[in-house]
Amino acid sequence: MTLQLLKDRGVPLDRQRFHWRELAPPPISKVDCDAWTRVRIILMNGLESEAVRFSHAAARLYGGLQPTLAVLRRIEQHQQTLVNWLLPADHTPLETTIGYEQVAIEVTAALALEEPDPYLAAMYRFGLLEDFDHLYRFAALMDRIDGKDANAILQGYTDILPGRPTSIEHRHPLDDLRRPYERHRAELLSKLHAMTLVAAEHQTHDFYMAIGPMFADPTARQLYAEIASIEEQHVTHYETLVDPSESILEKWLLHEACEAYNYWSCAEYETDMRIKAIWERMLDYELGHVQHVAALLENIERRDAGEVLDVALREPVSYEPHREFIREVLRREVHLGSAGPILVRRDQEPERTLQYRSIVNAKDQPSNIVAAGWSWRPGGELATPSSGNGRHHEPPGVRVRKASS
Amino acid sequence: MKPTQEPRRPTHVTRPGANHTGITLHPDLVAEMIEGTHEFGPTSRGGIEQLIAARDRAARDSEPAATMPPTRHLPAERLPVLDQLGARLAFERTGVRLYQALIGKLDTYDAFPGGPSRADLELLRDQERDHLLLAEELILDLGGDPTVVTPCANLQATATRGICEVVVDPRTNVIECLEAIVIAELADHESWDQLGHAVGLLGAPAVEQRVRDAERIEDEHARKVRGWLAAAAAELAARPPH
Repeated sequence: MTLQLLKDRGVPLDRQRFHWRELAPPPISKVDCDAWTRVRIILMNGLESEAVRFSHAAARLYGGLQPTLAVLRRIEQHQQTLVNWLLPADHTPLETTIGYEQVAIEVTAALALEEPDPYLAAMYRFGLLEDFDHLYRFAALMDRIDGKDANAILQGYTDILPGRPTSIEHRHPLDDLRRPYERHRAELLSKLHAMTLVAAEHQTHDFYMAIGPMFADPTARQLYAEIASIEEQHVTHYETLVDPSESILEKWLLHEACEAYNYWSCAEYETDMRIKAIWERMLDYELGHVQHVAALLENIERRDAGEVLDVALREPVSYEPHREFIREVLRREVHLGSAGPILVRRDQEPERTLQYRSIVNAKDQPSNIVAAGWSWRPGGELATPSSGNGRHHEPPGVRVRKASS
Repeated sequence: MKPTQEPRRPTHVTRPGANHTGITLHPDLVAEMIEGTHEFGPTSRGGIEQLIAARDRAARDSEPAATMPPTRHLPAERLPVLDQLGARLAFERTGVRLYQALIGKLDTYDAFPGGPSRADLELLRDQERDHLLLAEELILDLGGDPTVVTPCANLQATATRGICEVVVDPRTNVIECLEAIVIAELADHESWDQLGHAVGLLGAPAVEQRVRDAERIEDEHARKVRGWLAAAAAELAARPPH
């Protein structure tokens, strides 16, 4: 079970074609699908959206690459469409939001566990606790506005608990800048992990910016504004972990490798055979992209692509619950803040961050308003039996372990 | 907890304002647009039938949007009732949130003659909660899981998605919210009635009686909301906007 990025040649570019019916395939079922399938769809939409974003930025800076960027970018845009259109129309924007946060939590946890560089792993755990809190706030919003239980989307794989409170995640921009890995020293896996999280967080930011104004409730609108601001911080947090001295072609090659790595992981874990076939097809397309960009690197920069993609990938990203790992991180690291690239105790945060936080929190703290006194329980807080009824409404067979007081 | 500020007077949204959407405001522009359609006609032939045919083709390739959970231990004839009970549970839960929001509106906007009092709305909210708990209890009695989003629950949530958005929108007043809530109440009463028929087919008279009791209360809800809307119409007619 390995992925040989340069040896597995994939599908050549001239055979990578789509028609409209393929690009709008039958969607998954919101309630019948396994939550991990939705997680993979959302993540891969993020990877493809990053591919298109990166390609446009590169085209604006490197005129000579514009023709070849345009050809690959068209394919990536169609790949993104095919993947994202797998989501069904009966997902409300808030239900999709819950899915996005499940992606942020579970994928970040999986990468933090596998990350060989201790500094990068610490940064992933830092971001993880913040997205973990976002899920809790959005779940409270869903219960209190729509009367819906977010666990219908999460399917019990991910806890709904407070993390590092969103209201204290707001930091001065300079305290979101991190120390990048060094391109000659970092392992390939570290580079792919960082790139994956940049993509996931960037699409989350863009999604919240698109749907936030669709809500009527004033606190919902503020909550999306607040959490979108944190997602912007997270894009900065993760993108500054990437070595900015990588050449444009090196970055491009890593982008294609990252997509291949993630499609491969999706295919390895997918239980829905129709969706698995899509992941396998997209993997073959991405391997074709890797070949194309590797040739550009060799022809233009006179560099061997094997020095960038220097090892075979042996383990896919795991799609399984990380409940215990996340709770342990929560217990140990929830008190952390940052001072520039260094993680510090919250009482050591720089004055600039404290000032910034006091400004944005001056009037309202929507993330605190929405979840005031709220704890998740099956079916939402209204499902609690009234006093004197005495009947438990946990489903048959569920045993709830009471926390010791 | 009631807010301390003075309530706002109900706003006549039907007063003359700044609506820009009609063609009569811009007759010259519209004439130019119509002229344009004469010069630049459609580029493909046919009509709506092609859209309908595309839906037909997609429907033939589609799986159901939702099914019930695997339930080996349950008799199959209970599933339609559990599906509908799941829908009532979800709908009533949203109903409680609707009335909580509407009570908030009543604190913001003054009451109107013949309209609901705070106590009226609190009663309806509490009855929605009672029905939520009833649905939960009946699902458990029938061996189901009250946390399941059943196919009918999912369908009704999609069909009524906009009602909640109207009621939590700070720009809408009590009367506008009642216009939205009457849709929910009429649908809710109809659904309890259908559930009563389904339970009757199951041959469970004690359960049917409890469902019918809820159906009668929901009928009363719909009547009350329609009455408040009639009073609002009379109020607006008696005091037309300037």
